[in-house]
Amino acid sequence: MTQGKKENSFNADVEGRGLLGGRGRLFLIAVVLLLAVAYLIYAAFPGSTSYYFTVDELEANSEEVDGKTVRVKGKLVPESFAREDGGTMATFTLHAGEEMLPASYDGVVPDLFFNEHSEIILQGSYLEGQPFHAETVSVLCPSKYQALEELEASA
Amino acid sequence: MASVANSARGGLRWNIALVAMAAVMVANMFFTFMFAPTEATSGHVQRIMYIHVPMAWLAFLAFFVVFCGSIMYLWKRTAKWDDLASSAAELGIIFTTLVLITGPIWAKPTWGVWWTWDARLTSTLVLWLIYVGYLMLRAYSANRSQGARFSAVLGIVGFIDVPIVYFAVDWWRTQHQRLVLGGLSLEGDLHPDMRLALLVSVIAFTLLFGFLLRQRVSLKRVERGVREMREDAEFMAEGQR
Repeated sequence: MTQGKKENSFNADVEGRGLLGGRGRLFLIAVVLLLAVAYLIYAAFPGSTSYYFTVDELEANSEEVDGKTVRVKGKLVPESFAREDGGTMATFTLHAGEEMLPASYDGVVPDLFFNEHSEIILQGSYLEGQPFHAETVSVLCPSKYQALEELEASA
Repeated sequence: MASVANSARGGLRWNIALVAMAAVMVANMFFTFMFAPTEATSGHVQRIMYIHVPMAWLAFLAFFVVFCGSIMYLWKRTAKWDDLASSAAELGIIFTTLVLITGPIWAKPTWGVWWTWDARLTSTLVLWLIYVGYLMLRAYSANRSQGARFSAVLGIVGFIDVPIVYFAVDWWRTQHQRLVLGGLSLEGDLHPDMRLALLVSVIAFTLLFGFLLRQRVSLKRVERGVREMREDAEFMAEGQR
């Protein structure tokens, strides 16, 4: 008696109410959702697969990305960093192999900016032939985790 | 109500397990703050790894439990599998939330930004949204059986994001560091002492996860028992009228 009542309350939804009721509607919703997700993945991926260009890729695609907001990755050219006196505007050069990219940034750079293992990602709008003005600067850290004491001991 | 009798009988063993888990958690503190060497480039900040990585692992583990529990529920249609899956989903959301909190705290001093929309970070946020959606789907369903069935489907389909999160750093260019544990990590990327500390942390937090999951599942069982007793009582009362 109680058992029958319990089953009723647990399976209260009625099955098979035609195409737009019960399972049919559920199926339709599932298909629409799957298509939507598939489209979003399809639409989003060509742009997002390259989270950044490297400096040499940027030079190679300079016409295509001219005037667009891009991220570009490179290593800091040693000694290239300079800051104007009493200001926050910094200029420096990134490189990837032989290709050089002069850049500027107004603000505070992250702690690991000057680390020799770090790679730097700049985001800003690229204008061909002009120094790259970065709106944000982030550092791509190598996933090499070394012990400070050992490094100091070997130095 | 058998579970209450069981828990009384297994009480001593359970308490011993609890004390052991607490001891491992304390040892984990020692490994994180004393044993693990200070990292050469970013310093003490890197110790966040011993929280951040285990949290991510547990999120994956929790959603794997959701995945398995959901399959079993759709197959067997017994409430215990739904209890397991939904409990694990709640824990998975907690651990994903912790990943999303500890990540930016680590990112700001090392990367220079709190957040960036790269593949790893974005897919992790999507993971969080999928399982928050899982709980909302349960809450808004017309009845418990429907909520259990719908969320089981989401628990199976949503799991696809877990390998995407894991492999994102390998498949795409990202801001995020590469893998440090598992088959795809490179030899020598992680100092041996750091690796040991990380493993201890993973074990300690996995024990905590097991404890929390057990507690949540048994709480759900009690809730179910109370609900059924009340339904029975109401049914009887109606019958006497």
